[in-house]
Amino acid sequence: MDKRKIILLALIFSISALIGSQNRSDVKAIKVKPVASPTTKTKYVQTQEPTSSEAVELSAIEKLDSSILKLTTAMPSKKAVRELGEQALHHLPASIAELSEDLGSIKQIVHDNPNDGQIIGKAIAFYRTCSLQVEWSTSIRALCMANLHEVAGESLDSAPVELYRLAKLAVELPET
Amino acid sequence: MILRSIFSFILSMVFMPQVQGGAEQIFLSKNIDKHQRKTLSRDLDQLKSMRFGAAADPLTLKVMGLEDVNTSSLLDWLSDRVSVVIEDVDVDKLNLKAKRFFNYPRNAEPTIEKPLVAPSTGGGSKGVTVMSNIGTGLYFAGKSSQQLFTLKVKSGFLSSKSFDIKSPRTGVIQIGEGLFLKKYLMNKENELAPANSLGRMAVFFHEARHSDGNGESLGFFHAVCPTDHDFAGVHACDRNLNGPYTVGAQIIKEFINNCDQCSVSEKEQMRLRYIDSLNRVLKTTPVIAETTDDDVQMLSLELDTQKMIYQIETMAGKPTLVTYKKIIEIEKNLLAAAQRANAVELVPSKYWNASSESI
Repeated sequence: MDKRKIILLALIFSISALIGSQNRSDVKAIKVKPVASPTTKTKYVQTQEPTSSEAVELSAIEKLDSSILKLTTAMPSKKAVRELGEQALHHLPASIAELSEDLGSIKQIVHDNPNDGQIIGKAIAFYRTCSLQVEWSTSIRALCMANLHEVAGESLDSAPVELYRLAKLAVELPET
Repeated sequence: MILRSIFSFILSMVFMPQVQGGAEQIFLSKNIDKHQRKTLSRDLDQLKSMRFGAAADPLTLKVMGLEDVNTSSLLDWLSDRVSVVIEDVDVDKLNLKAKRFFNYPRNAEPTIEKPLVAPSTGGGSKGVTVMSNIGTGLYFAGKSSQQLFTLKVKSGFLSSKSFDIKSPRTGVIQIGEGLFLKKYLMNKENELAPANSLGRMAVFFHEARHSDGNGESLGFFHAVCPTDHDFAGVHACDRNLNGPYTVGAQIIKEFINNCDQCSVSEKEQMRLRYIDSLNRVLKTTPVIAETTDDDVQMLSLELDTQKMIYQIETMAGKPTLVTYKKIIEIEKNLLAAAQRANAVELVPSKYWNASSESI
């Protein structure tokens, strides 16, 4: 066998070996997938699936606490909002828009757990505190006041004129 | 033959306007970021596919001059006021041509309130553009300088479309990244959620209102929010009952009433946007009447003096925060003193004439 033939055979052998190894790794990958996927999925479902009614309650309470904490610590003051300047204030300021998700979350939790005293109590306490925060934006306070009226049945009558007007308009919207 | 067909196909692809919005008459510039253009088209389609089963609020009908609130009436309202949506660029970078033109209507100037500009502290951040209606500004600039502007907008690879700004109703809307920021989304987990589209559409309706008005009401320009307002000192309020903030609020109300796919959480966030818009509608404007009250007279004099000092400081290029704050404080005290002296007249805001002027 001459040198050229040996080199050619060696080349064919190495290419075949390379293709073979790739096929094996493909097989490995395919093998891994069906094993790994259901396991991950099962674990995910297990952690999400409530095991008792207490788990649902805790999860909702935790969500509620987290939203309340975020709102009370991150809400920008009226002064801070004013400093954003004209362009940023033409529409709902971004910092408030971002926090509105937590106001939505509180409303959703209250809606989903109408008979949970702990949740309703915490929400009412938050709405009351929020409606009294003179440094917070008027629209946030008015929304809290509207919720205080809707959830706790508190009258809007004692509210300052502008808050009363806005909260009343919010209350008049169809039940969300 | 085959070569000729290929050539004509390529030509047709090159010169064909490649983007159209969900509402056929609203043209979306090719220069808009691809993702933003796609999102806006989807938003318009969302509006198109919405079912308005609930009875419309009579106030919405009155404010927007509609007979009914439904997909078709809302899209017509929008496309009557918006012809083209363009990318966020400085006006001097737009492809604008001007020619002499003298046949503008001769009527009153629009009301443009001047705020007391606070001296720059260097701490303010430049906000990102959400959306703005520059068509009215271009029309007014043309009217003031006796020129007719034509805006060229990219419509394809080598093609463009021209828009003569013959009326504020030509409606040129600029969109910026602010409109698409994640923090503005009502549903951050699902960017395609209808609530996110409706939130952006409400801003669109607000901006479209700026295409209305004539003479004094031209453009429905915003008023400067009063000193005791959340957004004191900036053009973020309306001194009328049918301006952009009222339109925005009413359209959100209709969306809340009719969005079957929106969650409680999303509707609550819409409610905040509704209140935020209404909070910017000034129902009355306090005007201090002539009075012999000593406090009022003294404070008025003091206010004039401080304003003059501030003007001199500004002209010298050094407006001070001390003088600015003094003016704000005196204005508050003056209003309080006038109220004590029963010398404040609350002038109610009115409906402005929304019919549009054109050449």
